[in-house]
Amino acid sequence: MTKKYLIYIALVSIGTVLFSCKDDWEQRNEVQNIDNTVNLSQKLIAQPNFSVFNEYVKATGYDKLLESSQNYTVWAPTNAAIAGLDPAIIASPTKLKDYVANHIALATFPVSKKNGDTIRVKLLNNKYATIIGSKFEEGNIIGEGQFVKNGVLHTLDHAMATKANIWDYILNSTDATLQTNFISNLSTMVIDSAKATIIGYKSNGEPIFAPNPPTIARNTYWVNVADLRDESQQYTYFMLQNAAFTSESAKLATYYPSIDPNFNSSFYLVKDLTVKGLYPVNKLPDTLISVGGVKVPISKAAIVKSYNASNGIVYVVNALPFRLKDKVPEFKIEGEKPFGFSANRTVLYRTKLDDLGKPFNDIEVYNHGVAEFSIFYIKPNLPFVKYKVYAKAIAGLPGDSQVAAFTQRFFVYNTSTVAYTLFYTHLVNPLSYAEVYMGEYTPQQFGLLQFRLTAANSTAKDVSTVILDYLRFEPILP
Amino acid sequence: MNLNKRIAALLMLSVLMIGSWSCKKMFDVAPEDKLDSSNAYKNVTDADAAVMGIYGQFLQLHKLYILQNELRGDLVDVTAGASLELKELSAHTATKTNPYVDPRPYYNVIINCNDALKNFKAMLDDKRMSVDDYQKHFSDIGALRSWIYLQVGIQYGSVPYITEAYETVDDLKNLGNLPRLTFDQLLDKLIEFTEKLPYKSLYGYPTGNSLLVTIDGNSTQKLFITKPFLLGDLYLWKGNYLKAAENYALVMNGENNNSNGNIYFNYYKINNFVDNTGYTRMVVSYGRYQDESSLVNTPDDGWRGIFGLPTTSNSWNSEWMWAIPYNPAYKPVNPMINLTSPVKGYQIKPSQVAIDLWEDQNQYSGIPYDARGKLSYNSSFSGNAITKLTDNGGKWGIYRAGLLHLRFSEAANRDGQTKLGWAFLNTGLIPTYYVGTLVAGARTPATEAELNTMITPYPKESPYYFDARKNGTDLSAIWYRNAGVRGRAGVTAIDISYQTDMLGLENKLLDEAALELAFEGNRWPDLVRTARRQGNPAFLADRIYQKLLKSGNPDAAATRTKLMNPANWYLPFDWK
Repeated sequence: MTKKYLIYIALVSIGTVLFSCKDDWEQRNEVQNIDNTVNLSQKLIAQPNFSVFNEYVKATGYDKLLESSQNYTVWAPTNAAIAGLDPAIIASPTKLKDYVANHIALATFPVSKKNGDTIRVKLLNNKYATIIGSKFEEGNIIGEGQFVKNGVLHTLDHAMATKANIWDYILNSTDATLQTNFISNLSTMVIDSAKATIIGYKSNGEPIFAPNPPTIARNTYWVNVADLRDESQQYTYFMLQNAAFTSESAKLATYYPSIDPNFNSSFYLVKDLTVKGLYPVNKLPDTLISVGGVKVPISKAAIVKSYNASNGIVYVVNALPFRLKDKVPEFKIEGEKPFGFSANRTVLYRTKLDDLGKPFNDIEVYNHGVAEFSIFYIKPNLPFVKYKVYAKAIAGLPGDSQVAAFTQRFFVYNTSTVAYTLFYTHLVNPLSYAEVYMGEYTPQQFGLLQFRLTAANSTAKDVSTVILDYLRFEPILP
Repeated sequence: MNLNKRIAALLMLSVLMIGSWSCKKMFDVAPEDKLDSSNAYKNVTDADAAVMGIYGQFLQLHKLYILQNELRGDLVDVTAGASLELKELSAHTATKTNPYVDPRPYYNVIINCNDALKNFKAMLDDKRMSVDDYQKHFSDIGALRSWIYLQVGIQYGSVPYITEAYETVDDLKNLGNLPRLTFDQLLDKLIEFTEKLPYKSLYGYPTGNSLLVTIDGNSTQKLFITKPFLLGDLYLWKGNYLKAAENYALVMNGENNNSNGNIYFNYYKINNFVDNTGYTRMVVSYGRYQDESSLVNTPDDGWRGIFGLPTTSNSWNSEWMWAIPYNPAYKPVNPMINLTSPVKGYQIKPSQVAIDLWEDQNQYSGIPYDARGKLSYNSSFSGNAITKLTDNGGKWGIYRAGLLHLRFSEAANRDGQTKLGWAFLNTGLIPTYYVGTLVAGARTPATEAELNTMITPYPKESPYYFDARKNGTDLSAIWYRNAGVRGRAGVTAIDISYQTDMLGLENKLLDEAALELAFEGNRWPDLVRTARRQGNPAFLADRIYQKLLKSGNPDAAATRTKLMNPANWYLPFDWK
């Protein structure tokens, strides 16, 4: 008999060892006390503490949804929490429907038992809620949640009115009228594919529209900078008060003198006012990088106001002093990224090591047999400012047949004379690793830069070679 | 438990036992459609069938061979999803219960070799087979057995050396209790046996033999072991470097007397020629020199063609002496596909050590890495996949010219001919040995004495004698195309100071083996052989340590300490 007990004890202890350790994922998803006899709708009715919210659920027809066989999660505000809700929401059937949908999500989300566990949940009104541990946006989830046969009902201590997204907030805000007006008027006309007549399809499946299709205005900020309406993304957006907007635009006016609002100084200001990601005020660093890759200098003292939008955060600031050198940056044109060639020849896109053993990529066209063979380079939207221009071309590295010195020329397109003019004649000595200063260049106007690298006027091998690592344009700023 | 239950249990047991054993006699009649050992060997066709059968069984050792030799080395690492057994093998923590440690697969083939050898002898005695046929069949299977024993010795150290035939499984069970030879004693036995084989030509069977056929697009010519290569290996392990070099040189010069110039200039000589008649295209090449994007990276051409071309191609045959192809249309399936492919099992991948070694090289074209890396594995978002073993269905490639030249260099170097080893490793014979007139950088001998500097300075009978003379179109000696292993890959030669630095060159040869032969199943033996010879366990331990360190294994240092004791290089030989 004692043996028998020993076996039982052994079994029990093995069982303990096998099952007592749960992993994190299990802890997060563990569900207890499921009541399989009722659905969410019935569960709501049964609890007087949610009577107000339940009234709204019924009024908007969501009670039918919560009876269905799909699984939902409801974060129901208590009567006490909902008492302070804006009467305007209750008065409007559309707003009320949106309000209720702002508390329901498809699928079951239990309260995580791990602190700091963060998930973003898509709600029925297509907004996303951030749940950190038992914190649901600004509210708190009380208790474990009541599981029923088609989901879970959580108790929420906050009314949680629907938040606007950044775009809607901008349009309705009066905190930065100049900036808002500018952005809301940035538009371009595109084909209205919903109304246009489709007369066929291309081989790649794209539709062919009938001639002169109807067009519709579309805001270019959504495409060229960031779509601030997108609920699934999170952005940090800065609104400049009018004085700051005017002064920052004025700083850029001479460099971006375009009259097209899509290219003018105000555009070059606002394109760097959106940062990807959510940076609450306590996590703001002194510099962020905009979606356009420009440094955004942040001073907490300049923040006048902030708004937690459904897809990020908006800061209203009275100053955002961009550095000119970030807004009118130095840039390089890489030799191995040409726009075109004057003739179809074998082009070598090379990977080499320089004198410091650092790998770099360049372009070489060797023994092509074309006098004045040319490679074309372009750079769109060139700011209007005087540049110092440098070139780097290394010949004679291992594997390179060009071991003799040779001459190549750089031409730049003059929009006034409508012709390429000689900019610099470059004598390339083998294994000379330094950048060559080619001179100063001032564009005739803001816009497209067209550069041409041209071989000697010869068809001879070793003479007609062209090689380019990069061109570097350094703006001369005050 | 009450009595009834006990009786029921006993009854059940007895029913089971009856099921298991009582029917033995009923089924123990002679089968009509299967050969019994008593009448399996009637004529030379049966002997041919026995040879093919043994090679078929031998092919099953492929997976074990690659895993034991590469995963234990420093060039192959396990993937995150690898099985526990492979992870243990890679980290040198495998115990005797690990299936990749079991020596029995080797002995299964050895036992079959023994059986065939006994029967070949019996056929000769009964005049069922001619002396000529006997010599070839016996030597082929005998040499194959020696090769397997060499493997067993490398992996397990002290092993039993069985040469008699066993007919029943029961005899095999006692094998674990037989006396064991040390690795050194085993090498002596293997050299003695293999040297005495009656037929030691380059190829197992001469042209016209009934075993040489082309079947399903594959030629059987290179299916059989290359005996001089094996002898070279045995002598190299033993430390008899001159004899090793002699045997390797026999292979290197094996096609010198062929009447076809494309064959005698190219076969087994490592060159960087690209000819369009399809005799040699094994060079790392670019569509546009200097431009890395134009690398010829296809299993049907260039250096990667070594692994992907069919066994019927002249180009493939200029490189390989011994390889067994898989046919994707038939079983067995190449086991490497499942091991290496990220869309299949994906158990093994190139180690960071191997990748870094390729990255550390420079090409003559200025491209700052060794393209053989790209041609050996494929890098994609799903992981690094070793392609070398699976290109166009894959083969079990055992002996090829790249390996041959590195082994010859190793032997020559240890025999005091360091400069010759340097030549075959780097730029080939002419650039290393030529002293004379240059016209616009081209070697243009002005006198006969200058021309003769293109012959290596040894007597004609020496294994180190190579005639590489080339004088315009007047004279093209048989070795003039030799370009060196690194030369063929387009990577820059190592410093010429290594022409007089024996130990330094030996280490460089090992590095080159990683670049040229990675994943092919030579790494662990190379490390063991060199560390053994140098009496320097750190040579091996440090390399394994680097692999484990770079893959983030926390026990890297402990494993290094363990491998500093040569006894721990060998797998436990356990007969279950």
